[in-house]
Amino acid sequence: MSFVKWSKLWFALGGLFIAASLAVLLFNWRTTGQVFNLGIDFTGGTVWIVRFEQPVALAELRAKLSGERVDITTIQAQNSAREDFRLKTIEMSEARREQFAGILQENFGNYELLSFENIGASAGSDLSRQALVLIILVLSGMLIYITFRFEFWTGLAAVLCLLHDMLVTLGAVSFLRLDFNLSMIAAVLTIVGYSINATIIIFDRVRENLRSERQPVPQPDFAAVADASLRSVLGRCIMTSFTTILAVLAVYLFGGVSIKNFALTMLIGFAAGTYSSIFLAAPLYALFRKAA
Amino acid sequence: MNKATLNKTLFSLILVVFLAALWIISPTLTPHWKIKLGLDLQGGTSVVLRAKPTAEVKTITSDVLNGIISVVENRINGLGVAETAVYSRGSDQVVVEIPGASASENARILELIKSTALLEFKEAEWVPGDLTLLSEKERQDFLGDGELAAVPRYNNRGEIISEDQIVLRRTVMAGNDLKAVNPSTDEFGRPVVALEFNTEGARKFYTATLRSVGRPLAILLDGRIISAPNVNEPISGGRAQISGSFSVAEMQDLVIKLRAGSLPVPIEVLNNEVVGPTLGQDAIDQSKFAGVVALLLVAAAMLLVYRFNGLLADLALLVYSALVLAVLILLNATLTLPGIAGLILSIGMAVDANVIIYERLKEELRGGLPMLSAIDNAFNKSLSAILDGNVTTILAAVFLYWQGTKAIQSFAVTLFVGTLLSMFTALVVTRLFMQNLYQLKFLQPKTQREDA
Repeated sequence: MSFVKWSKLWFALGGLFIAASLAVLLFNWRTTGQVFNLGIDFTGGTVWIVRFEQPVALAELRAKLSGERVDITTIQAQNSAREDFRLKTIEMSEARREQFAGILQENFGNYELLSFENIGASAGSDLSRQALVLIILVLSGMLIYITFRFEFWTGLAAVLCLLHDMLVTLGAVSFLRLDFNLSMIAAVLTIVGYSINATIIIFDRVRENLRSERQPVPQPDFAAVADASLRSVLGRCIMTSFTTILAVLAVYLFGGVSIKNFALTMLIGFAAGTYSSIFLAAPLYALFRKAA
Repeated sequence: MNKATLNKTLFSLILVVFLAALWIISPTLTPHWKIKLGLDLQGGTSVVLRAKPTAEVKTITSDVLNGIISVVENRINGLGVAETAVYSRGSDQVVVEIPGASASENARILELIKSTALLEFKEAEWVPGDLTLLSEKERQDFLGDGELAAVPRYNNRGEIISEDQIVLRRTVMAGNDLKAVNPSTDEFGRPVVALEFNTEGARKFYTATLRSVGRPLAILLDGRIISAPNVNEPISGGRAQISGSFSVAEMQDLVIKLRAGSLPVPIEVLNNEVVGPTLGQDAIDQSKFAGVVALLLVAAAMLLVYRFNGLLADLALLVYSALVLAVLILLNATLTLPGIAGLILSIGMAVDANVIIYERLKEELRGGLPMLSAIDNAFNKSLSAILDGNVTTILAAVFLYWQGTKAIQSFAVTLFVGTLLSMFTALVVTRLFMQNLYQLKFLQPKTQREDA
């Protein structure tokens, strides 16, 4: 199979993924005013995780708290059939918090406060800008490193692949309405740092094959070299991604509720990264070199 | 040194390092060496404070932040909790971490930390009548540069029964002239705070009481009047008492605050997080299980795909797992939940280098090379791809560490340490295993047959 010959199909598929992601992001922005379901790291607010002594039904809790601006979800408790509740409210003053705790106690009896987090609205305001700056810095860092180690066109192709991975991941996060907080940024940066590995394996082989041409060819057939390189390293690209995805899958399935979204985001990102490394990186490079 | 001796030396060296790592992570042999858990795992309270500039202190310098840190540290230490941490973050923030503190203790901790605790003594006088009967101008004349305030009167149950109006005049002294602050009781057995001034403070206090004979001397904490006792005669000896209507706990907290001194600038609470012990323990149990599952899955995958070489990679993975835990312990790194996720992730990444090398080995063997030179070639030619790939991951980890919060930094540290160590185990440990084992005669023909 020739990967480069079919490159139009791979580009179209990659383009489709990106377009779908952008559509989701745009749709959520237009309908809810927010691209992501921003967590309290960004918006400020209070999150309580409570375990009631007596079983409480979600519907009952929602009904009793309908007067409050509170977002309630359930969490499956560890080693028990019981459910804990996660209550997310806008930022509350201390007095307001006491009042809220009183309402819970009065209506549903004693409870254990498993965790409590309060973040001031001002804390989150800088965060979005900071996150964006961070991502741009990492991407430029990658571009510079790869240009330095390989060449500019390799770096450009790799960074385009990374943009694809990031957009697809963010689109999925937006689509699934996952709580977007600081750990999401960490997940995205890890995806960027890791999914470039498979791309590098391919470009490393391209570099080696170009060097080993017996006589220096004035204009090597980049498409053929890229294709041959890709085919010979395909197995290891798949296997390295596979073992990493296995490990993240274990975290997703068994790591517990607090880390599930973090793991899910990485799973999506690594999958997107595997696609872009195998199907986009080498064809993009061949395209750039032919045009340049 | 010839190649065989070099190999033997390296082999024993790695064995020693591996055993040392096992010794370090063993909870029975070295109980004092264990991984420090973040608050999200062991439970506790964390508070992020932001320093607010005032008219006097216009910019928050590192001196100001250090001042806040030392005061807050003193206050927290007054609670008698072990292993608390107070450190600065960014240009104007201070993070306070108190392990083990529960949700019920959180409110008290917040109250204790966030007050400026500025103690002031002000000359004052009671308003003898009703000021509302005066005209605006007459009132201004009466008040002068003073400030009108109210002093609550309490009954013996601590309820406010009335408020007396008072005019606060000049500040005669502040709480920084204190030598000792002690909890005490007054003649009725009610909790009071006993103050002892230093020489300078005693002199100031004498002057203040001398000037105030027949009038009240108001005692204020953070601008709020605690009490305003009437001065009957000048007080020498440098001792005073603050009585108000405190509970015993309030009195104790006031003692802690006054002992620790006042904050150089006011602060606000940005974040406050409490994780109960139940949730933390759940998280530890679950992530341990996830880690074991990940290790088994990855090891099984390598074994299935690469057979004997896969087994060698799994051995290297075992060495890696021991090393990474030992290094994290030695670095005294704090492990948070994202940090554990990073550790498990690194298990999946650690075998990547092995995969790259093994696939290369297959190619070299297909090219007709004998096993040992094929192994050498595979390692040498894979080096650049492994290096370049890991450098980019390390780059991401460094950026994350630089910008992240404590939980994210822990993830960055495990990613960084994991990536570095996995390069070592794949490039050095696996290579040594392979070079030595394939020299054994009985292994050679079998594997070549397999690859042919």
